Amino acid sequence: MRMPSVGSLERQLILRLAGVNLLALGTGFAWLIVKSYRIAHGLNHDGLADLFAAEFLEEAGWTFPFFVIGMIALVVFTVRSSLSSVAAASRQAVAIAPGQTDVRLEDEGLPTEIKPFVLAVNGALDRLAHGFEAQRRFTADAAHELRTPLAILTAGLEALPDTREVVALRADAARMGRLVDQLLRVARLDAMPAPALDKLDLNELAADLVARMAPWVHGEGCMLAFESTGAPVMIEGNADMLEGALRNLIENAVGHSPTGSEVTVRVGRDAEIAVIDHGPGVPLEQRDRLFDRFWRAPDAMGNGAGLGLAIVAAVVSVHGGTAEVVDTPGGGATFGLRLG
Amino acid sequence: MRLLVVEDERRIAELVTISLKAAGFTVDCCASVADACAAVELVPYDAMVLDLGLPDGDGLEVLSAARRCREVLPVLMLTARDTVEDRVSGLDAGADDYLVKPFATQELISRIKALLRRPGLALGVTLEAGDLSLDTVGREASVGGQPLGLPRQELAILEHLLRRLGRVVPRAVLEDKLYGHGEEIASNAIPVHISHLRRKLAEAGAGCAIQTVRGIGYFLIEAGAA
Repeated sequence: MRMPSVGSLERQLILRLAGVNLLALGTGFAWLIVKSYRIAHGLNHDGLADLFAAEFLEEAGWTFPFFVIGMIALVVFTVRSSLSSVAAASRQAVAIAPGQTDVRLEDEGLPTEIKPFVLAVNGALDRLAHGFEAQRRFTADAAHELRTPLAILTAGLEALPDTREVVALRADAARMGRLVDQLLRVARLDAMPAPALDKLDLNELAADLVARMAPWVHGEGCMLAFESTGAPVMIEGNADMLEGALRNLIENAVGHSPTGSEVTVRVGRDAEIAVIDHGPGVPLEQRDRLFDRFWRAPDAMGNGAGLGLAIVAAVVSVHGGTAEVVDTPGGGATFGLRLG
Repeated sequence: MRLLVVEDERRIAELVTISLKAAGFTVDCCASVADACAAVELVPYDAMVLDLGLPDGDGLEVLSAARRCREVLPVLMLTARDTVEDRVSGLDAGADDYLVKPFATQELISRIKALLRRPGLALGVTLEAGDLSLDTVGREASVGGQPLGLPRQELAILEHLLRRLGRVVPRAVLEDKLYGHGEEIASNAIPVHISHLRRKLAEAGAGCAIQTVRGIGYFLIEAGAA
């Protein structure tokens, strides 16, 4: 039988009701014995009265434990059935998944003392859902509002002849596009601190992204490669976030790699994923701050805003994992993520 | 080739139209769901470029209207929404490809060309990259009119790479297409074919080259294309 937990209302009610009932039952039995003794005594035959009482205990005493058990079962049943609607509501509350904002607690059949409490919780859930929805709509709107003029700018610049100035402006527009991407990603992360996690194959996710990014990496003068054991690596994760994090690591690695070198994405058996480059590597003294938002290396020649690795760190922490950077044997940086 | 561009942002529509016309397409433009639905019912377009956010509704409505009257109409979706869920829902709704704003117009053109190269869609089409052309009916690849005389399997690999020009074709897909189920595949069969192809393309001066993505597969890229 399930034991009610310490401090629960159910345990308190069962203990108290059982105590009261036990007392009543004990008193009842004692009274019966005394009563029957008195009746026998009234016959003016002391010896017979003692015998009568002893016989009563012997013949009816064994029923006492059965009465006790029956009584306790009745108490437990009564308490549980009257609290079942509360238990159901708390099971509903426990089952609310991260990122799920459309669930409300059932308020039908609840005791009147508890109903206002559940209604208040539902009200709070309404307000939270509203807040999430507003944030989500804001990031979606911002994405559209920011990207449309950028798309016009990009297309317009492409239509111009290739002068030195135009080429430079195209690079600026591309940089702006990347910054907008990252800011939207940060906004989405902030709006959804506990996103929905699904079962996914890390191997498949990484292989798919490598395939999509390889032509771009080639255009940047590097090569992209993928290594894995081949077997699926199943994790609980958010595909959109993980893909964004991995994309950032690959873009960084390519940005720091010498022309013609290879950037390798490696998926390990225990939900580890590493992006390995052969660039200058990361000095020891910078590794602590590397994942901070808006932090840039003092000698950074690139044009990032210092958001990429902060996004990676946030995504990894959502997945209960860790991120670290180590040296690539033979020179370069290896960014490793361990998820869950 | 006649294309329909559905985009409500006037400047983007204008710039996309200019570059598509420069690439040799005939282009019609619509700015609303209603106009676009009417247009796809009237004109047998070869492909459609579809923006998702339209003033009078969702671009996905145009997609389902188009699917009702035309079973095979390649659709390239344009959108400012870039989450994995958005991409998946667009592709589930029947779009063939997906491009997030801002995009390079070169990328747009090459994606449309890739869609028009899909098997089953354009039967008897000639696939081209650089100076290489492949006649999918005559089963012959040539560079500048000079036939390369490729063996059957190399030709099949080249056709797949050409159909997805500039995009990665996984090695497993090539193995699936080239060999039947249960057929024994030597582990280095595909790499050997690729290395022969690579040498032949280079010798003929094909103006395109096969790149390897170690651990994934291969892609074909035109010389000079970034």
